[in-house]
Amino acid sequence: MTTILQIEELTHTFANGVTAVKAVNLQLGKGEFVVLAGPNGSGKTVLIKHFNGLLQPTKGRVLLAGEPITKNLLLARQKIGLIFQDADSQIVGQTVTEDVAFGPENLCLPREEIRERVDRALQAVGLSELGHVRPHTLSGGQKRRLAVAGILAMAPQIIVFDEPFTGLDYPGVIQVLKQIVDLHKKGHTILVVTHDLEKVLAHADRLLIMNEGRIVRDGKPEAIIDEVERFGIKKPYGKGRRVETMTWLT
Amino acid sequence: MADLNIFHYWPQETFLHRMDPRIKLVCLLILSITGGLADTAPALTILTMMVIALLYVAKLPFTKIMAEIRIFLLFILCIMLIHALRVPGEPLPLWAGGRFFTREGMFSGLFYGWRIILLLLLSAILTATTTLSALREGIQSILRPVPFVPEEKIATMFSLVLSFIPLLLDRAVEIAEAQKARCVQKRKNPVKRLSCLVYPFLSQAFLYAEEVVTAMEARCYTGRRTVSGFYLTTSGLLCLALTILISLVICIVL
Repeated sequence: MTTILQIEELTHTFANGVTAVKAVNLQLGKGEFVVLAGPNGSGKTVLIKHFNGLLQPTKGRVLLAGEPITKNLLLARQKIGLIFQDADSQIVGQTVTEDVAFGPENLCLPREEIRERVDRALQAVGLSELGHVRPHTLSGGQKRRLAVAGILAMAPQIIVFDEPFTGLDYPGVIQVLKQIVDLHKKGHTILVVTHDLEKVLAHADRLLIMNEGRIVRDGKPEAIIDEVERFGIKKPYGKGRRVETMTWLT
Repeated sequence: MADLNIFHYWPQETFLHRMDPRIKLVCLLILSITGGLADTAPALTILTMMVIALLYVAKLPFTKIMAEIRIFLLFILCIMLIHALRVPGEPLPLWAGGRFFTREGMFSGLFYGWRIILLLLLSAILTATTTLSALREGIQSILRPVPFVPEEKIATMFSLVLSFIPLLLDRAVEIAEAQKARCVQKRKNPVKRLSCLVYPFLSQAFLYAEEVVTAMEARCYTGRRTVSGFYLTTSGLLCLALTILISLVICIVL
């Protein structure tokens, strides 16, 4: 599998002296579906913010397709889409359409292409009918899908979801999970940061466990699942439960 | 509360919605100055009629907009009261507060309140008929010739403020309700009660602003964005000319 994103010895120490990420090495292959799990404060969000240069490492480097992302940060941000936990803080448009157009506008694309990309992205997430609606009046699940559309309109290769199921009801989780699985089927590389292994692990090719700033486990989900509770992550309920059943999609 | 916002785009197919945002911004500026200079009842009446006509042409929900203006009512009343108190003149009868208020002060206060409502309605018409991106580009285009002015940043800040007013209102309501649940109303000191609301609100607003900045950067925001070319149309120029004419009539004749 071709490596698309490579993290080398990445360390991040904040100004107050706290080291959130410690010498992390990681490679993401093209088309992989990876789940990154870990307890609160284990450094997951800090780590993913380095992927497209939102945070600069204290030590180490991030390579996208073999090139350091610092060479072209805009390209890294276009190719690696980050979808944050709080969907509200990602909404910058007054209508759904305007919000999706924000990214392509920043890429200075021509109006016609922006329109096409916005239409395609809204269609992909099933929000075409809500183009004129105010984003803040959407439901939780719709807001997450809007955030996905905003990223899709920039044509990324890798999409990173930070706690995509937090605060969603059952239909909301199903909507978002379907979206994630569809994106993977269409060829995107997916990284999902979550505690809720039960909802998504069946779709993953690989499970990463992060604890105290380090990646402590990296491998096939079935090989690691029995160890997750050692690191403060809830193992999906059911004795001897197989990984294939760990999904909310039926 | 996220739904409660008069300064929001209302999609419609009208002449005002299609108009060049630069023309709308200049007209708003001219009419605001006219409103500030108008100090007679006939002048303000003509301006009010014009605003009502614009609301009708733009097919905007008049009653809903007026209902939402009530949020500003306290602010408007305070301004009216301050004016009524500080303008000297003929005292009102004692039963009408004659020890404190004058006839001239009362009229001055009323006119100020009237002007503020007109200004709010004009701003509402602008934002209701113009998408944020068009408004941002309009501001950017108007400010571009001005030296040493970061027009892209100003335009983006303006559009973000409009976009986040409902969310900030939401957060303020949530904080107030959480404090009510902890019996904040038992505190008699209004300053203390206000500080209980303001401190968490501001700290949340700053945290929220930081999250928004991160999300914008993640979507390649640098300040440079796609710009659509605007073309001045005859109808737009006619509208501008009409605005100037009405403003001159109000300022000079009335």
